[in-house]
Amino acid sequence: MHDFWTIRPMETGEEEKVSALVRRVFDLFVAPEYEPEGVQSFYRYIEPQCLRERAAKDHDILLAFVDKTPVGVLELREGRHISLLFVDAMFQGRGIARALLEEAIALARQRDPQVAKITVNASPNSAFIYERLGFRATGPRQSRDGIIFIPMEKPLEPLAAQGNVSSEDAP
Amino acid sequence: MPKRDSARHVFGARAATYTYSATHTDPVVLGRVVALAQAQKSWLALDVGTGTGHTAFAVAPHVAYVWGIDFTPQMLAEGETLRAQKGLTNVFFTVADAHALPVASGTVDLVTCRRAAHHFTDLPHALAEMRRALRPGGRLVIDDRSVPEEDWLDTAMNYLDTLHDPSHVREYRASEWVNLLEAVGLRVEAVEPYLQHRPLASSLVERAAPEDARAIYAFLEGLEEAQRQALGVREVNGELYINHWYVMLAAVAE
Repeated sequence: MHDFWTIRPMETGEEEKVSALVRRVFDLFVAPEYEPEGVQSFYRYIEPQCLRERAAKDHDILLAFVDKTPVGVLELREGRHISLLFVDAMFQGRGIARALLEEAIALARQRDPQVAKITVNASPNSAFIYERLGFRATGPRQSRDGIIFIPMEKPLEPLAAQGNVSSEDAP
Repeated sequence: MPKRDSARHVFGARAATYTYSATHTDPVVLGRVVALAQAQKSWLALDVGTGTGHTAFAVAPHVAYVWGIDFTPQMLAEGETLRAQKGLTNVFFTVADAHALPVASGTVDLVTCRRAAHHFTDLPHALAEMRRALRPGGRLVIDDRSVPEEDWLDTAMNYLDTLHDPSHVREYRASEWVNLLEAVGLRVEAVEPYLQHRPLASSLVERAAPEDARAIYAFLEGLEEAQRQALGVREVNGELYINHWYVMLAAVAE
């Protein structure tokens, strides 16, 4: 099944496509449970210009492609918090989100070999997906600026416990 | 050469030709596809064998978005150019095989497949894939080359069309279509066979290899008058015409 997609960081010029992808999925699955104020603040968060600025700073934006079309996106803030994870509707349920998460964890460990957990503020509709990916709720359902979310985290095994660190990773 | 590679080869060379083909953009046929789709604005649609995207473009205004897949990258590149010209923002193209759709099960509201199924190497398998992609209650609309329910016409048309394009696998009778759709768990709602009388040269001969073109003429010349009539072979305004049979079907995922 894995031959259908490839994952790589977003490149300059791809922000509009990514923004459109996120908005499409958001409108289908998330917007209906948000207050109008939350929908608007989310739209501002995913404007192409904002994606570009965050990617230029300390956010990693990973894209999953089927052929030449981005069908999944994960944004990792400061190497430890998932601020976006969206997979296009028809491509959900095939392991693309899991593959994006695995890439994100690899990146988080590059940024900080001691990183102990990845956090996310999950929309209520997507919390069950994060649970399947090994996340657990760390607090009650909350609302901020009309955005409704459940804080969740996924503990990461210390690298050493996973066996030998390859020689490439050694200083 | 396997049939599937053959389809890619033939269509690769023809991408530009198909865009301007009057029969493939026929507004009446596309309008009927859209009517049978009964699409809603919230729907996700998948157009299998999208070619240069004509069906996807027709469906796009009626749904949330359309994903067009085709096995031939050159066709999709042409489709992407057309999409940009039309300013459509809810149509996406991906290279994929109709026999292994790159979409999750039960996620699609509408599958369309126009003038493509007669190229599929394993139609039952491709239809099972379309059924898998559809949610329960999701709709499938097929439009394809077909043949009448008569053995001789079936054999003759399939022979001629294989000469015209060696990547043709089979043009199925309407009755075969119904059986194939029901076999994968689809309830057939509409069966609409139709016929177009088209110039022989542009519809069959022009794109055929020279020896195949000669074989087409030799076959037609050897026919009895009754057979020529059954195939609709006759002159119209000094040009030789021939019948082409088609069928449109609508089915619902059970």
